Amino acid sequence: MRRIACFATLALAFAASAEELKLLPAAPGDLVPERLEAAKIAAVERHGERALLQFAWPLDPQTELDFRPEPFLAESREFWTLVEPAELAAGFRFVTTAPGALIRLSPAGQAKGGRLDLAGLAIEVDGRRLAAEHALASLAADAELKRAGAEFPEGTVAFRLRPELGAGPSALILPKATGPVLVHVFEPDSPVVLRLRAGDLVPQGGRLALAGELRAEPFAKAASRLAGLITAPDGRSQGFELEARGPSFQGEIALDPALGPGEGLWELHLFAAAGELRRDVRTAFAVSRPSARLAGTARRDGRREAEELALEVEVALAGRYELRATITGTAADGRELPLAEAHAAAWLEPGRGTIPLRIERSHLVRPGVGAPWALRDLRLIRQGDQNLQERRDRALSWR
Amino acid sequence: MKRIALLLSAALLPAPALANKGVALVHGTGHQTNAAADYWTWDMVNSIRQGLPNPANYVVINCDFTQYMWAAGAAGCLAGQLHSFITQRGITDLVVITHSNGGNVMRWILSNPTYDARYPLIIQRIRWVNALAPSSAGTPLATAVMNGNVFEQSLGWLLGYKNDAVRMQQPSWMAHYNANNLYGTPGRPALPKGFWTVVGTNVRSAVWSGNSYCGGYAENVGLTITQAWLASCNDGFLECTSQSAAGRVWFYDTQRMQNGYVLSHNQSRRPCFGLDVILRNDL
Repeated sequence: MRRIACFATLALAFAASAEELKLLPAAPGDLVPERLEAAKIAAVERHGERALLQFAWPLDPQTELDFRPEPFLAESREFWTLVEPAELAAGFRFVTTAPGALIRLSPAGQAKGGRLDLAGLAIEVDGRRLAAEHALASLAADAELKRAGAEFPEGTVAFRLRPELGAGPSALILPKATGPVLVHVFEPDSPVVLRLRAGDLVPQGGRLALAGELRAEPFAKAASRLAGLITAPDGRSQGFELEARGPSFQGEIALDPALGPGEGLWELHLFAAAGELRRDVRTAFAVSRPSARLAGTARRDGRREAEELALEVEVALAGRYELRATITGTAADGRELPLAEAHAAAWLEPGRGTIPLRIERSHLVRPGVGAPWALRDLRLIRQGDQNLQERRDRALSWR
Repeated sequence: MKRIALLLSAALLPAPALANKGVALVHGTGHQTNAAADYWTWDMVNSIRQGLPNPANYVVINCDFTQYMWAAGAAGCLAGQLHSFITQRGITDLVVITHSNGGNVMRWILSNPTYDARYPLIIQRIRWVNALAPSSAGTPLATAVMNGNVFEQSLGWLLGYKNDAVRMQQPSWMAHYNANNLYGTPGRPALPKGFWTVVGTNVRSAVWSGNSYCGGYAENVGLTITQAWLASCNDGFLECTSQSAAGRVWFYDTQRMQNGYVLSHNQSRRPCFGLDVILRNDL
């Protein structure tokens, strides 16, 4: 009899906690697709998993989560450039701003993979020309660098200038170069820094926002124009230019729709120069190319052993789609506390489908924590190419 | 301290009746076909597995970690070998030991449990991951290696360097993946299982220093050159901030190595200064 009573109670609880929910309105900063693409994507077709998978784990409620982290701040005290043999023979001119610059040379272009003939290598700093044995503090060849885990191209050599040479107008003389050489100059102790921060996610058809600064005189005043290159995962690129006003700069770049998708990230490479003083910096970002989006409704099924939230998804391209979110509860003092991380993924055909997040009740029942519950940082991801389709800071709330 | 508390609480609890311990060693960047000999050395492998009740319950992973961490040849291969090991040997309590980029591939699996039907079982059976010098926030050396590509691309030459794992370990890329695809870094949800890092803080390559010779003197010479690209606390390939960016620090080399020695990036995968014994005693 007691067993029957328990079942009856459970059934009532189940019936009482099943409900239809609507997603909260999108907030500024959320990524919500305006239109969907149905074009086939090789990586999506390759992803062979078809099973519905659900997984959740508890979080420490005292963890401080940042659902909108600042994108990466790239800093550069270095530059790269390609130098032709004639210029190397005459002396490639550049400016160092701190003692002890590190210089890396790699054969490039058709000379790639070959060996650099270092006979006659010399360095000129502030009008003093010194042979390699007097100018270099240390030198490593590609084999030593590879053993250290740094997979520089074949034929690479890296060396550090003796700190006692100081800094200033400099030249690299390499009379025996037979092809173009990639020259990389890194000044770890330099006060001249190029900083760059770009948005880490651009919606399809959107514009990439970027901002940065050129720190330290005279670089900050003199470098008024910056040139850049955006490279897509398929290897194609587009150039752009920016105006710098004083030490800081910012801009928005419309991405060329012809640039193709692929695995991996897009890259932004920015070059600045003030005469022979140079810096360039690079960062990465993703472009959302949505083929699915949240339809706006969810069915909540609050069972005794688990909470299940089945979110409706509108799909244009068949593929495996994933939902992931942080589930939060509310403390007695009103603080929102993270309780669990939940993932679910399913193969969805074009049309409408659902992905059910399932969270063990034991993950949610914590002392002093109760309703309202919420889904935070909800993300819809196309798993085959790791493309973020939709992201909402606060997606769903229930009691 | 928390790790010690966990160990103590585990020791006080009755052992599961059918607990079957195992250990897996996961290599770093590169395409390995015999990682036990070529990457870890058999001395390291054999020393660690002596800590198991059944020393045969070990697996040394051999995969292609020149690919992106999620690729079939990387995480897919790792999942396949871990899943086979767990199911064929009935492993219920698995300690995973990773080195360098192997930590990223393992963290990919822990962070993306619904990507592949093999992942949930693997995660459930893992006790924790001991990540030796993981490249969790990437390395400026990867940026240095990759940066020449832009000139080749703009000139229409062959698309640069083809090692996607190096491309992925640029700090800007890892920042993106840490913020979007991976867990365990500050401000992000924790991983479903513990990720305990061992941090190497310096390189010794002086001919008069015994510290320089463990793991190969020539390897350490190269690391002293690459140190110039890195912040002052580094193991010759990774800055300490990258090694400690995800999970929790188990220990810094000088805290636990014999004579307070440091672990270079090559030494943290070799039986140097008692590292193998510490890992063995943790099983």
